[in-house]
Amino acid sequence: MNRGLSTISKTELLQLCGTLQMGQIKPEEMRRLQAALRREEQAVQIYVEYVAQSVSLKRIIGETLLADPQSAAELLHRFFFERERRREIFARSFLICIVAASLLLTIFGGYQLSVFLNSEPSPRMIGLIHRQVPLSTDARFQVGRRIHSSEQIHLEQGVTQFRLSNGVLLNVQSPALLTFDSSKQVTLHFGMAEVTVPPEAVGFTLTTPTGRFIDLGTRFGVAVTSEGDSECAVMEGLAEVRIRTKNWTEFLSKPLRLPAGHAVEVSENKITSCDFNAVEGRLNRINWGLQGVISHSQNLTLMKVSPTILKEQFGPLLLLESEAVPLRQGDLVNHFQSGESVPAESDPPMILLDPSGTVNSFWFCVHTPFKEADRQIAGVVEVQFATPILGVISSTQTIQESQQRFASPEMEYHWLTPEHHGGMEYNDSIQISEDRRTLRLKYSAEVDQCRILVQTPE
Amino acid sequence: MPRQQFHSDREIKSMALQQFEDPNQETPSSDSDEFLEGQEEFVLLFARYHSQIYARVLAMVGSKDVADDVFQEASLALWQSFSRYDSGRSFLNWATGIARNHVKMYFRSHRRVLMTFDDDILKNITRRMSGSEEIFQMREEMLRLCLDKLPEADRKLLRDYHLRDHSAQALAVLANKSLASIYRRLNGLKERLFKCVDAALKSES
Repeated sequence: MNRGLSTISKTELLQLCGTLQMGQIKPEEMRRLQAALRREEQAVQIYVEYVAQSVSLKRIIGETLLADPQSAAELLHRFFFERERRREIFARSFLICIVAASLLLTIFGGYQLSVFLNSEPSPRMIGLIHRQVPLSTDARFQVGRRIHSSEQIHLEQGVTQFRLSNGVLLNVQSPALLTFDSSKQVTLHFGMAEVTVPPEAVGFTLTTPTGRFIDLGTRFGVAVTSEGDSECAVMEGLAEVRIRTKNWTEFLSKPLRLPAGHAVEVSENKITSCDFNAVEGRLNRINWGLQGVISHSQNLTLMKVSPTILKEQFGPLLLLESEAVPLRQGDLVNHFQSGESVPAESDPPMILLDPSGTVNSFWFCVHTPFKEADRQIAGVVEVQFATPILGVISSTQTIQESQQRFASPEMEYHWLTPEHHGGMEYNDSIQISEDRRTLRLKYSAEVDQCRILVQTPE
Repeated sequence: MPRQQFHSDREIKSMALQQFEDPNQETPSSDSDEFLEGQEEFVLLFARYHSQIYARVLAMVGSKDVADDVFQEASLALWQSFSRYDSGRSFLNWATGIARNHVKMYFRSHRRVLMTFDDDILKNITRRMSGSEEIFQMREEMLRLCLDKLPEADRKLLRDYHLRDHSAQALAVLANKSLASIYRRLNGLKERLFKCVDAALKSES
């Protein structure tokens, strides 16, 4: 039955309707559809019937699903608790508007209501800031703050976790610049981000200046290096990697499917394999960094990035960076009693790390700019951790000891002297609270290569 | 990339509402009972007609994603301007008028998204939509029967796409198929259902 169509077949018309609804229609197909709808009344009738069928289909399937208790429970759970759907936004906006309008009517009368009714519609909300370390006092970055589509966010400090409406968790380490194109796509212009994607949000895409990383059911991390290249490590599942060309719109045709345990570097025109452990180690710091909350007495800037990037820009820095270190249970660590201040006039006592638990290590530093005269800074810093502190490793004799233990990047401490160790000094003190979650360090000079070991969260 | 905002959204919005505005009508009463009663009426009408309003928006914009955005904005505008609604008129037609203006606003404020249909086609579509409610109802009844005839795997695909809000890409990954094949399959299913409904109506008549 062609239902009286003359310029287009019914099958073709239905196919065009389908591709249009899915946003897949090509320009020439669009022109063909428009021509049919302009010339043929019957084509318009079929088009509107097709549209009405799509809406009916959704309603009928909804009714069927709600008739099945298990599916209904799953659906309701997602609608009300897991997924921040557009309808939910409307329902919430609606409720808020009613309450607000009632209040306005009662208090201010009709004039205020008309002002309210004429207010601008807000952009679509696609997520919110979920967690943060350190907690920001800047209203633009506070926990609970909503993220809207197409919003650009420049993070200058700490680690921030974003929760998008489709359940995607995005942990971002500063400094970073991101554009939240939608809940399905985020652009990372620079910085480091780790993405955890729930099954229903498969297809989430993280775009960088050189690459595009598409989730295929996974947890993966991406770091944009200072040269603008991108590194990607897949911790779980699978991700698709594509090179982004210079004009930012086209991608090389053959994508690479990257399985868990692999890492690549994506530069302007090539994808090269790189050391997974190294990339994953760097990315892991983002997660672990979210476990600490920091306060400090000095006018220090807290940064969680390589000091070489930021020293000159920000002056004195406090760094607390969690790290993936080859730490073994049973390793020796410096031990301090709970609630006790221990002057470091000599090397603190060493204990065996509890072999029954697992540990995280935080690399702890107080840095100054690269000027000899500025190294002698003194202050007190207090750091709170989500899990108990197991011990502290600091080298008061020579900084190289802890370097050796942790295989830190090679650095030349040419400025070390018998009076200045580079780690904790003899007059410095460490105090650990009774609940072993807060560490207070009084320091007399720059501190480097100090490790704080905390229990791994369960 | 910052969201492209058309610089005179407020103006366009007031234009969108202008044609439905009664100059003699006073601003909403300050009596909160009366106000809440009005909201209750709105909720009842909106609950009854929201599917049809959405269908009209979808028909005007073509794409499901765009329709979702426009419908959200238009729904809010409907509630905000409900005090201007004349209960003697058809709520559906009044709502369709506001929704049509929001469709135009959408394409003006998202200049990179091309307007799907020109005014002539839009008029054709809205006229047809208004005159086909009875046919739509009959087709919906037949659609239920046709859906029951589909294999469970096909019904599951439609369920996942329409209600679980899986993107086509997610469906492709979960089914280990290419994205193009998922699009083809979804479109093929809808086409089959459409033809099944046509055949059922024909045999009934």
